[in-house]
Amino acid sequence: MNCRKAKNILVLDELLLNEQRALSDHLAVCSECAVEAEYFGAISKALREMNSPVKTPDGLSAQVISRLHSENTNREEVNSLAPCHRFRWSQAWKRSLAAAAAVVLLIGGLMGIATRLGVLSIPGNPAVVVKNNPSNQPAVKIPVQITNTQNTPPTGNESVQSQKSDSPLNSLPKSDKAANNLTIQATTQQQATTQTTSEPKVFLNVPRLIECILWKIKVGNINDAADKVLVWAKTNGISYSVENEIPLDDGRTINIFRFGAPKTSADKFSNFISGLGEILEKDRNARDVTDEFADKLEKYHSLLAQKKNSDGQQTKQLDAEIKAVESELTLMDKEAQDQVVFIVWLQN
Amino acid sequence: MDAVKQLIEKSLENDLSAFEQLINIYQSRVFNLGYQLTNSYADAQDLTQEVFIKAYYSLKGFRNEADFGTWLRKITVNLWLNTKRKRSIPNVISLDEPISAGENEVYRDLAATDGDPEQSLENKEFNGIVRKALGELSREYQAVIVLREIEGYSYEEMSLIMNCSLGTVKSRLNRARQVLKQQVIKLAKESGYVLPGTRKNRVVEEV
Repeated sequence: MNCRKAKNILVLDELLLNEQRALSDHLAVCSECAVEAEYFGAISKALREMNSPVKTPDGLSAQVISRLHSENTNREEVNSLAPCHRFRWSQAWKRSLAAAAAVVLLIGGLMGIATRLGVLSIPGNPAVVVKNNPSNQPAVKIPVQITNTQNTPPTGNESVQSQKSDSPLNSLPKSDKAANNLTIQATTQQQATTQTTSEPKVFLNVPRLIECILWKIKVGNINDAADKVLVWAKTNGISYSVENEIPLDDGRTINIFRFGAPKTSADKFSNFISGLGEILEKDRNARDVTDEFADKLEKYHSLLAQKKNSDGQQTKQLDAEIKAVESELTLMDKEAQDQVVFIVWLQN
Repeated sequence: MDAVKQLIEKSLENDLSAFEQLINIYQSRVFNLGYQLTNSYADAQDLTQEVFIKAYYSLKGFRNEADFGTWLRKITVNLWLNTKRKRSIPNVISLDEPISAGENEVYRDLAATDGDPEQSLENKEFNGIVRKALGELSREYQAVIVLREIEGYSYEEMSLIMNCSLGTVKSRLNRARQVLKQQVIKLAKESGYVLPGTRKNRVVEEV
């Protein structure tokens, strides 16, 4: 046996008897191959010594079962949301973020009105309670529950229909609407009493992409990390819209923040976030919101039309809904134009 | 129908207590494999949780002709292979320090040495180098080394776990061993550890 052949079979752990004999004959006379064989032998021995049973942590099965319980619940919640609000990230993200992120995205759109009203409660949707934190202080943490406002059945179907037939825009397919870049000017006769701005906004139906970056970071102290990230964001002109705190069954807590960073600060912000702790996940996604925007805009106009034929309490309800949709449109528009959305997930 | 099959059938009907029993039967095996793959108690814990969550949702895809344990190991290895590498420095633990795991603090049972303290210290140092070198290999190579050398699986079971042919398992294992050896030599040189072969040569030279 020559050295080449010997080195090829040295590494094998199942040798034929004649191969074994030929190899040991060779090793007896070739010190180079003998050293090589000694390396492999020593490494194998070291690896075998690593095989010592490690005690399984207590409560592991209970943790899995409790996760399965809560994921089943979350799954139902996520399924009840409109598809456009669901995330399409990696499996790991889907599992851990699904419900929470959908909530974050949804309430993100409602924050504009929350800023003005403090607390928003949409009649017919008792679970919608959005509260924001205008001072950007992490001390106030409000668990948020939400249901999808899009699921609210329109109260005046007839007027929606008439609005649809009245508007030349609405007779076009969505893609045409986007392509034609039509300007929509909506009008309303009744003004809301609770809002500071009353004129309906003008939105353009153009193709829109929102770039999202998700960071999942494990930190030593959640409050410290939250303070740091909020202070940094504030001093660097990054707007922070939502904070959501989710207590886990095992006593840990997860904080999720949603930031809108100007495109020019996005890299700097990413660098800062990556230094907060151990990076568990990072994901990037561009969400095409063109159709979603067109749908929302249509809803906006139908609400405005309904408002024309409403009075009293109904008008107030419609106003709240109109403002919520308007805020979502405004935010979507802004984010698509010049922002990168950061979803920052902090856990300990 | 054996007990495991019954538990699987019940779990398929969303009986979580049946699935909990399955976890209790298999968690130690999954956790230990996870520990060898991740070389971290905490990561092994996370991985094991993910394995059972994944298993629960994929139970429909489990065919009873395969062994449930092998199926779980397959999920374990796949999940680990697909987990993004963390940017942090690999977790290098001292072999005789207790592994920090909160209340579940454990000591590694090092294989008994021949009682010579110098030899024992040398073993520890060398084993530490091997563990570190292993952690620097590609995940595919780490997986074959862990399965074959540390956990002692047969080529047949490895081919089931890794979903590839016997030939692929063997050739991957051979390449992994070669790369591991080179890495061990490199790390030994860097840390000033004298490898067995070179030591012998040096003695010859001195004489």
